[in-house]
Amino acid sequence: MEINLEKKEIILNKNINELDKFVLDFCRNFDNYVLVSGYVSILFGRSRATEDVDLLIPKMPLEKFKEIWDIIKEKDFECINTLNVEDAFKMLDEYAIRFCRKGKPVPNMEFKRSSNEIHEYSLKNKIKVKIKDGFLFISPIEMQIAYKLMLGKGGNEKDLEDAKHLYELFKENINKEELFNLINEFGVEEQFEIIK
Amino acid sequence: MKIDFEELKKERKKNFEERLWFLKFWVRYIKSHSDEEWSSQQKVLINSQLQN
Repeated sequence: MEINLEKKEIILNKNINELDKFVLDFCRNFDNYVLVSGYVSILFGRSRATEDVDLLIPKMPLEKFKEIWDIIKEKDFECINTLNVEDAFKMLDEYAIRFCRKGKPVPNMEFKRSSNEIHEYSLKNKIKVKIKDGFLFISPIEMQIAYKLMLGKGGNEKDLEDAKHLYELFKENINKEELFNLINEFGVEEQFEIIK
Repeated sequence: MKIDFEELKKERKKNFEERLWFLKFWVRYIKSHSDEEWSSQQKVLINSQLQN
């Protein structure tokens, strides 16, 4: 693994698994997105699978969304929530919508439109991860750690474990000042003490 | 059946600590082995979970 977070780039020579393949096949249809949450830890070796992968896209007009919808459909993916593109677009105002390979609900892509400053931060500071069969954009590692700690606040051990995995793996490379700022903003100092 | 919830709570805490220990061990493995090596093991785990 070659990590260059100043250049916002990581080169990963991993042996691609079925989940990575699903994500690569889906994401190669977009140019502006960022992967967030559990899959980011899994991409970097966390020893667990997941049924859903979270993906953020920027705000966009209906016409642009229709273009994306058509491309995804052509590539044999389908939306689990609705078959109607306009309904799907409306749903994005409040919920994430899910896409899967036709007839196979698991794994699926939880497709969310950016709706707050955390999302905007993630899109703006995304990291490019080059892997054998292509590349993926992920949310900054510092944000991933802080966000997972926040989810772990409710006692979800899986989220704390995801945060620990990323922290242990990247602690020599991340921007510590940025991480501590985010930990402070999320109010997760106590959770950080558990995993550090 | 009489369930000792205090005992279960302790067990859960211990289990979590043990998993954190393993996480650290696994990350050390990732850092000290090639990407191909650790990811081949991860691939077996993930592919089997997705196929079930």
